Amino acid sequence: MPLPTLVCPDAPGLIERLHGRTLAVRVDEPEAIAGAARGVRSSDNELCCVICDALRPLADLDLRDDWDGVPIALGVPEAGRFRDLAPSIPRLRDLDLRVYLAADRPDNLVALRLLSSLGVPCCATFAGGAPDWAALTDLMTYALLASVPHAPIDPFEHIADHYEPPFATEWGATCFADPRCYLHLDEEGRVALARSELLAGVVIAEDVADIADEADLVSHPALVERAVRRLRLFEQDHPCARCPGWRVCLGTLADSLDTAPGCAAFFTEMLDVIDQRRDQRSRDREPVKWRP
Amino acid sequence: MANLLLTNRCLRACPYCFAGRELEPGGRGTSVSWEDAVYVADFLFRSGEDRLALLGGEPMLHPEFVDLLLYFRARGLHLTVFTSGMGPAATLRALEAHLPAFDGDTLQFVCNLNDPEQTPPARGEPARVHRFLTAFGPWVMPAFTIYRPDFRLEFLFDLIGQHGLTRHLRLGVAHPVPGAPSRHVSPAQYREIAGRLCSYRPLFERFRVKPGFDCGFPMCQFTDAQLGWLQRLCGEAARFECGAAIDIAPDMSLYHCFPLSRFQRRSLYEFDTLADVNRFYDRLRDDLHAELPGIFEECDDCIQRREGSCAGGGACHLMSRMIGEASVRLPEIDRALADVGVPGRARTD
Amino acid sequence: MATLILKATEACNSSCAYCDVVHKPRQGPAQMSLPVLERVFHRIDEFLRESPDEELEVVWHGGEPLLPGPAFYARAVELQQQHCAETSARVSHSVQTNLSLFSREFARLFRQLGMDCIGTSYDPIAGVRGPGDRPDTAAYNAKFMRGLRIAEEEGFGWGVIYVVTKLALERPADVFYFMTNLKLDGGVNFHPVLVYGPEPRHLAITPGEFADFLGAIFPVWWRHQDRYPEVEPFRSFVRNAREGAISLGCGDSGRCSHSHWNVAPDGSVSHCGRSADWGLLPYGTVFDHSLAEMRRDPQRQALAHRNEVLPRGECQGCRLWAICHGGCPLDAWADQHSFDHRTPWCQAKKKFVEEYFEPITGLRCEFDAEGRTVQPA
Repeated sequence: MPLPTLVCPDAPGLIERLHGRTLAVRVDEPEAIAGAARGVRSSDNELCCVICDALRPLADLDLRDDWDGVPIALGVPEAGRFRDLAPSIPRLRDLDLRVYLAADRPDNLVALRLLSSLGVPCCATFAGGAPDWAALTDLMTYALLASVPHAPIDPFEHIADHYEPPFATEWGATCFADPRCYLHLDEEGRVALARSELLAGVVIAEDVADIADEADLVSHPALVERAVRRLRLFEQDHPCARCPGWRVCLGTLADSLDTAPGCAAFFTEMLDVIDQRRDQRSRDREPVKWRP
Repeated sequence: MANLLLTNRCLRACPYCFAGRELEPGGRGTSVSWEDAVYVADFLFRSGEDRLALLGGEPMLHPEFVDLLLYFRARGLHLTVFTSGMGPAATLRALEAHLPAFDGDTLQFVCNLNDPEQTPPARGEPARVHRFLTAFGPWVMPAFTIYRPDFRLEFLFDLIGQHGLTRHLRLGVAHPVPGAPSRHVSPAQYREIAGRLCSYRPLFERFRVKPGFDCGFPMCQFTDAQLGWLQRLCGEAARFECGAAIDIAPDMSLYHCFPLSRFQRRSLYEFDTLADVNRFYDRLRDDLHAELPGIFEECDDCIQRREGSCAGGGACHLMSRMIGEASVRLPEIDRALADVGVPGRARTD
Repeated sequence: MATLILKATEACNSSCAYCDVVHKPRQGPAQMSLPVLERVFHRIDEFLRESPDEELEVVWHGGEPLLPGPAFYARAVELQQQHCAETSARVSHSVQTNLSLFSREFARLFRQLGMDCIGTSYDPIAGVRGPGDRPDTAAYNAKFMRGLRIAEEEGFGWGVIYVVTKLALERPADVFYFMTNLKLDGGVNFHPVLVYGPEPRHLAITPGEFADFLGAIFPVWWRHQDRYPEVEPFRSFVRNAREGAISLGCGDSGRCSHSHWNVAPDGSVSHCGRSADWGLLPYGTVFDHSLAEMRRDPQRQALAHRNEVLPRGECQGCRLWAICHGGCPLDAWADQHSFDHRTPWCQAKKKFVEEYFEPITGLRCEFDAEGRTVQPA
């Protein structure tokens, strides 16, 4: 079995050393996206996507011609004013691109809805502070139930698509945070299970070659420890363990529960919304293709 | 077409305003949220409708007016903005900058203009309107509300020529607001108004301006000769309608039109499509007409009304007449009246 | 299927507050000796040879059945191979363990015994389960979770019993979500705590309270059955109401009289765990009687007789008889010192059915003498 996709910096030396891997290359500047994609494609690795956390609003970015054909995960702090963004909408729609916005900013929740309604795929991220859970619930309901065509808003779409009751659904992969799907490499090729761990110097291997295959990875103590961490919530009778929304959260926000007290109601509501969406779809009300 | 009130804030205080309590002349007012704007766009898409009118108050007072305009356009909607022309300078500048985004007939302004002598403007108003008309003249259809029989239209022909406005004049009459005082045109004044309008025939013809009627004009108040002239001038028969405007307030509540905003008020969220909304308000109008066919006694036997070429005047007049009368109406009407607190009417279940 | 409850030990590394096994005065050895174990397998083979149409389930029970250690079960594997060479295909094994001692070695041995599923029990509420006079819940929970993780990693399925105590009555929803989150695909069984003596009063609940506990969580389960499958007793109630009395545990089946043996660590045989704890229904020992002989023990008639007495007496006209049969005879004995009575827990069932189940589901629990559903005219 192949290893998960490797998220690595745009470091030619590192990419040359890797062979037959699927890579998600991380760049600091939007201007470097096309070059990074070319770098991977000219190696004997396969390009998953280019990840860029831009520091400017989406509306301020130059959506360059050389982004054509490059899968891009574009993180931005905010969308910017719609009047500035409007000219870019057709281009955003044409690109193979997903926009990442932090859910803890109310204007980002609005932007996610606007982008989706205009056919631009996007994703809410939960790395920062507590979102406005009521507004997020409204956005999630829009994302999953609105019968008018719109682009997917992850992680809601991912969760709804993958949730198979009674089993739980992991959704870290929507933002490269599931080590079963993505491993993170630094310039030296050291391997971590998460970007945050990589930045903190917590690595599981000095080189990806040290991990022979998927079985090797699955049984790796660090990955096992992550599973144990989840069981520990039960061991401690943590509020997450008795949350009705556990199946679509799995304690993802357990560490920030004090600052995110609305998450239980949100994820519980999400389960009901997913049920409703399935009913909707079972009545042959598949959304039609986005227009205009 | 539906009308979305972007804000209920207005800078003017027109003597004939029949938006009544829907507007908040001073104050901050209520504005449409982005979430609801998306919902309205979705609702129209679901309805197969590609036109949307943006109203106020003064819609340009919405803090993100230009952004909303661009958003609705990006959703493929053809937009008509009903304005007083009194937008904030920054909004007008932004609007000008983004005008190229609107090609063809995808954006039109209907600017309601008051005769500066008969309806004296507030301080600063003429300059602001002038600035608007100068910038957007070719996109602007002039509109005028008749609220007195001695109205004057000369200033409009001046503005049309001066700013290159579209040569179509939208004419409305001031309607009563049932149950509330408002300055309006009574049915007895319509014939005089028709005559005065036709007295402007030379100007209409010289400037090649076509008049069009907003709802509520009764056909019978024009002579055959006047109707013939209107048809020759416009190239089509004039319409004498009273249909549901379908106004969507900033809080997503819904009503038939401004004058009837207190009657059968609903929420947009109660309906799946615009057709459903239209059917609902058609029923209200049908109920009224079942009781009172039109604003004149003659409406009872009028063939034009029966054949649909004239609505028999505005439904708001009918509702106005019913208020205060004995409770002998259809239960539906009594309930509608009771809902807005008219005494002696049966309550809704 | 015949059921042989095998008490590998009556000792336990936990002292759950409500458990009467670990607190009862012990006369014989706590742990089963290997000669007793060997004799059991000899008896199993003997029984199955005499009864070629029978199958037999061995339920490893305790105390904590893992306390004897892997070597004990390695020996059990050998003894089954040695004594049941031709009959082992008709022997199945299950275990009811607190998982705290579960290891990969146990996993290997249990697989050799043909097990692919483990029964356990758990309670997130502090102070109920755990070692010591004042149960150390934290230590116990950590060991349980460790065992659970090993079981899952080793590919074992598992089911879990939640014993409803007074402490759970304050938070039924919490308990329900906790247990169904812990065991996502179901296999959660809610049982009332059975307190027979004066202690521990702080845990005891009434039948009515148990019915109300179930009633508090039932609407959630009913609305989202795909989300929370296999939650008992709900699933069985629905199945029985729809399809007739087909899904009944030993206490409700009215058919336990000739199906059970309980082998204590010293080899003495009684009817079931509780009868053994209370010195009732002694059928002899594995050394002096065959399983078949003990199955014919006349004392069993007292249990069978109950099925004739109750429908004419206390249970006459009860529409739930087919799914209850007066409840567990041992519960009846605990209450009335006679098997010929219904149990107090019948009231829990009746209350739950009438006040919650039927109004919420719209299903009717009514059965004819054969246990078929009877629809109202």
